[in-house]
Amino acid sequence: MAETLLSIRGLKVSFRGRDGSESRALRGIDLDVARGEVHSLVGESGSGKTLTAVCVLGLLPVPPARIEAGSIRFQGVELIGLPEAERRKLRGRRIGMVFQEPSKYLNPAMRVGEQILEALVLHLGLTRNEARLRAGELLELVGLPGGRRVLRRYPHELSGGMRQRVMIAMAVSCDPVLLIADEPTTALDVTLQRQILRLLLELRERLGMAILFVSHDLAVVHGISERISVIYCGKIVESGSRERVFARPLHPYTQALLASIPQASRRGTRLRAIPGTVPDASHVPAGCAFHPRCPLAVERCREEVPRLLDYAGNGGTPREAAADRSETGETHLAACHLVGT
Amino acid sequence: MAGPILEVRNLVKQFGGSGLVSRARAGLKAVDGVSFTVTAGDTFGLVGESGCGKTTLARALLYLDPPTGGEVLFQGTALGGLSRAGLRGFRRHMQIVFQDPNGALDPKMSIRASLGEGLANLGVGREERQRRAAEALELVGIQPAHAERYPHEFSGGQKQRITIARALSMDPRLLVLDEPVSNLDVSIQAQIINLLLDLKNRLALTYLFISHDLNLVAYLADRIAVMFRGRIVELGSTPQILSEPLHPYTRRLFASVPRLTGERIVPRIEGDVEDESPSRASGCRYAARCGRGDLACAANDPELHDTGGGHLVACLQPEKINQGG
Repeated sequence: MAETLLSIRGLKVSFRGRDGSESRALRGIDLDVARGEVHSLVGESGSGKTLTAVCVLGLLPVPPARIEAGSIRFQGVELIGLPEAERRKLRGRRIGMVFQEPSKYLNPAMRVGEQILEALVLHLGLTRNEARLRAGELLELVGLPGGRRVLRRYPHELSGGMRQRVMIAMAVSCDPVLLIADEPTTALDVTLQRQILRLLLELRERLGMAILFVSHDLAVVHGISERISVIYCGKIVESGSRERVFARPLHPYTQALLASIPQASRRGTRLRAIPGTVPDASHVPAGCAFHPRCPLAVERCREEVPRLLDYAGNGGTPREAAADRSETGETHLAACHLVGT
Repeated sequence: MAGPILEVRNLVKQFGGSGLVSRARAGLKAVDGVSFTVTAGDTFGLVGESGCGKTTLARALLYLDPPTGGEVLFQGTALGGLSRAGLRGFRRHMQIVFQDPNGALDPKMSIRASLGEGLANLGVGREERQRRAAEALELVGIQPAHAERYPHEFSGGQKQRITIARALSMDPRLLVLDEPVSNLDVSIQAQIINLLLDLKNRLALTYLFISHDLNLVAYLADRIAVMFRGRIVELGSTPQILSEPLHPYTRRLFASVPRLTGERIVPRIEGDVEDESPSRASGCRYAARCGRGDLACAANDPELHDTGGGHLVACLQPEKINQGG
């Protein structure tokens, strides 16, 4: 495994409701992103996948949220507790971000060019003229030829796909080493989705950045990732290479998710549905959070929270997940009492 | 062999005819001459990207927003010729389920009241309404005892079950399902899809299934129509569409779909091929994006024609495409 760029350990975040109720949104996230890799964080709504990304970006609203425990190290620097001024330097500069709905993040009253220039002047200290040249180049880089004309337009004058390209141009404008992409293609049609995914992968190669890709869509994730982590109820339940997770998923939740997806080859058969619903963060089941929906659950699953262990070694005997995964070889982590039984 | 339950003939839905407000929108044909037939007992899939007119088509063929041209025959009766009361009588047999159950259920009405509303409009008595509501809820896996509850007390998946129950309580023959699982979590989608499969068998229903999710349509549908800019550009059995697509748009669409079994996506920067120009006055509407269109394509609007075996395509040069692979 290449050098670890981002390392999250034991991250716990809770929200306090107005009525004093507490919801445990993240219950100890462990996640490593290696330099240059596309690492997908997959989960359903409310699983905590976006919240994890928000914590890395330092955009968690405190209060009502509270970081209870854990660590987020980025290039060796602890981000939790870092002064806001320092966080801001990282965000947009070394960590870029792209979201599902670019309209929400682009200022509707400001020409696209001004918005790109802002970051270039602020983070890179370019003059306005230099920044304007660079902005034009960036737009060409993201597949908007004639970028200069786009610079003068307002966001509403652009199509959804063009807005997402502008957003990506802004995200990579300062040459980040990590791009956090939260459902960047979910709102797009399939033909456009493919274009944007190809673009992100190309930029990853050219700029040598890693991508933390947050998504609910396993088929998309299958197409782009080197590594996949599956999140359920605020905990990583499985993490491994694309090949391992799709060919030999270890966790019953991952297995069930993969079996529940409709595809042409399953015509004429019933889908394997997962019973029940995703639990609310204020009512997380005891033990393994998936146990009420798991067809294999035994007594132990109801009582004891399973630890994330590494099953990549010989014979499938679990070993402790190494503190620094860059020192071990390939890992395939799962948090389930039943793996290998 | 089962006969047609729904025949749509040259259906047109045109908006903003006068052009007083906006010249650009004047005479915009969201649905532009669509024809197809749905066989009783089939699942007919209608796919296309956002803005292609698939939802407008659904609303027009149910006469929720009456079409501005063409006709719709339900079990042989032309809906256009019916009085309002006559239409109401027919519509109970062709129900629609929408994408967003929150928009479809009145938050201030109990489930029982929501389910009874349509039946009350048909003059069905109170006792009968309650019996049917309970029956329909049972069919979709919601305890009839929960009928007094309000929508917010249910999860998204349960709410979608309830809107399906409401449609079923009307005793439909045809269900139009407009993106019925797109708002649901992955783990819930399969529950609803399995439910739809069961209901279809138990109640001998016919489905018109509208979706942007090609994997889902390929899994469910017997026949598939591909829509582009208000037109059907290709129509065939699911195996025909999947294994021998003839229209370049169909090819592109299905080649773009991420699949669990697919190859890794190849990195590349390609220009935005979104064609934002307004529809041309003449010629094939896909010509600008097609890349292989020639002068003939720019001049002639291709008609949907049968290439054999009930596989229809609206393209002047589909054979050429086939050879190109």
